[in-house]
Amino acid sequence: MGSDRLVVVTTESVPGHRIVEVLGLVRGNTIRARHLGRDIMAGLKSMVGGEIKSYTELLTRAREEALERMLEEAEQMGATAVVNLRFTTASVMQGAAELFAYGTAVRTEPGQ
Amino acid sequence: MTEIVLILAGVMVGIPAGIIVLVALQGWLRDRGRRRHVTRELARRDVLLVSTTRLLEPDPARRPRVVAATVVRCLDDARHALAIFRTRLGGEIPSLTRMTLLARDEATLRLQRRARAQGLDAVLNIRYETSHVLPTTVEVFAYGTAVALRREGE
Repeated sequence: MGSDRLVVVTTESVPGHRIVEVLGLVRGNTIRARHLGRDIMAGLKSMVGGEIKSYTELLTRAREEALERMLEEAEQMGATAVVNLRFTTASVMQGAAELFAYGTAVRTEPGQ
Repeated sequence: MTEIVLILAGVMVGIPAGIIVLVALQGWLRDRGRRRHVTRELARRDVLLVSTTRLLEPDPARRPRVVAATVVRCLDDARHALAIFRTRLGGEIPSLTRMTLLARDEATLRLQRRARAQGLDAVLNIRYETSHVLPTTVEVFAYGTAVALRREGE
């Protein structure tokens, strides 16, 4: 997860870098509904219990999408890094969830 | 006539009930194995996991990476029914406690693995998020910043 173009961290600073400009909040979200085909498999799986791999995968991919949207916004602002990244999840209606990623876009330079 | 009805009823109830119990038993055994595996792997502690930001000093030469892991877990039908029954009694629901704990440990283990796969040896600022997907099904999401620690003497 993350990006090769921008440095993304959940901490307030980037090791070895100095923040020269704070560009502001960036965010990305996506709302995903449960997939019918996956649901049938998950329904079968719930007989046995254990990990539901199809949902794990679905949610991982959805969060990557939200993160990607956040990164696009940061890039448009001319950021070199996003600090203090956070994720939240909310279920908006029966069978649908919102995945939200947010952080602070900054410009950094090497040095302490 | 009544005997035939009784036998049929017995078969119609007995077979599904038997399947549910057998399947639950298999699930229980598998979860127990999984729990042992996760506990053993986490005990290796080759990647340092902390929920703080400034306690450790990362190597400035190495690029930090966000690592994240999601785990969705559910109870089997038999334990699901027992857990629902348990909510009528009140108090702790041990099967759910254990399931949630296992999901968290598993997510933590994946963070550790992903950090190691990038050649990094610590994860800072770890956050957990738990959401409720379906009844007795939880999603655990864990994320943090993987870094390389500065070695002593460097």
